Amino acid sequence: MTAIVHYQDTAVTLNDGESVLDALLRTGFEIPHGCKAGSCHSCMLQSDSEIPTQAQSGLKQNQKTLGYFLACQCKPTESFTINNAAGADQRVSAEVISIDMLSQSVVRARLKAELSFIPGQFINLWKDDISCRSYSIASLPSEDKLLELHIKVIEDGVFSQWIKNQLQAGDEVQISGPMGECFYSGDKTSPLLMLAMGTGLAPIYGILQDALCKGHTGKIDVIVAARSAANLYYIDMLYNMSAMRPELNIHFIAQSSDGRDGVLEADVYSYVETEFEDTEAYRVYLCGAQSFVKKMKRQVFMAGAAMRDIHADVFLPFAP
Amino acid sequence: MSVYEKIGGAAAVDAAVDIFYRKVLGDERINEFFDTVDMEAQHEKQKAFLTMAFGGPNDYSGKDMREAHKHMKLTEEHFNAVAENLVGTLKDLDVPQEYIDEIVGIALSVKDDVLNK
Repeated sequence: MTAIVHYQDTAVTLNDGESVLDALLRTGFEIPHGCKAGSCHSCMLQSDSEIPTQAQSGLKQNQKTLGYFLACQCKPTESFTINNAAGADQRVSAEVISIDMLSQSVVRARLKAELSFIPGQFINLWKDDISCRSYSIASLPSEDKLLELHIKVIEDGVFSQWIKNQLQAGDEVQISGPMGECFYSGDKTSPLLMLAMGTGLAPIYGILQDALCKGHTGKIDVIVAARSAANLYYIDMLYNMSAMRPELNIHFIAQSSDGRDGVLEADVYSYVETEFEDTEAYRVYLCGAQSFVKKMKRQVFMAGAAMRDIHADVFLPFAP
Repeated sequence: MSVYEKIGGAAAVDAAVDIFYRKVLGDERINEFFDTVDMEAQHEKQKAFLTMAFGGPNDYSGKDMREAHKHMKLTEEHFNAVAENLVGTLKDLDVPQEYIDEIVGIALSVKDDVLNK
């Protein structure tokens, strides 16, 4: 039977394969949303109807019990009624402290906000009432309440261009979260292998600082990769950190080098395969684009890492 | 006592699943069926399969088996490859031969459903 979605006294018939979010947006409702892939949770709504399992995937048990669901992942097959739920996604104000470039393709935003988080988790940054994107937190919780975000600049990217060209110190923005389960936990003696592609360095940098702060004693290898060396950043800072911490090894890898010091020209997959032939004892952290995370996850698993010891954060491109 | 209990129950499945999943991913004959984007979900499926094959508590029915596999165009060779990897996994874990035989027996009992015969 055709599914009809009831929302605010309006009945919307779902098109074939359409999500509740897309149907409501099509009808003209301004539903907050971001990734449309079930990750950012910004389109969370609430219903007392029977909710498809997929629409609650990744939610906490108490959220499931309360009938929260992700509109972008919700494709009901029967009549479905949505309640007006306020506060599914609590937003807090943040003050922009600074905006600066880390490389030709990465902008750093530092915000000040009251937010409890674990380094490596991500927040949603809201441009207006209805649109957000997810960014990982690269900094440690601190007394000055700073959140550091690294944003990849995309030529026609609505968010990255807004952050780079319009946001200024002193501006106020809305954020929500945090979310994500890719962070430092577990024993302090296992060797750690941290792999970042591009701005995957943001969560990796947060996780690394957290591990060092919490007194990790095992060896830590951080591998940062990019297509072009010109996209790499924090090179000197990470090498300086490793100079003070003998257990910390830093590897910067670029497919094409521009001759700068400290960057090896190599294919990151071959490099990891050669340098980390046996990953059985390792706890692995993987952050970056989906293609990178998928390929590398398979590789380190095949090389011996246990599935439960592989933690990953996938960056999803915005799909309009 | 079921063979599932004899070899250690859920702990045995946990010990076996990474080894088994690594073997099927590395097996050119069948890895196209296992090489999906969501490795966690695939890993869970392998756990469910091993629990069933070990004679543990599971929700598999012959009908589910048939439904889940019928679009894959599986052959005898595919089934045998999975069985080989299952036996290889149990041998890696030093499971006694009599238990291996029992587990292979359970796996064989779903063969017709898997191959949609």
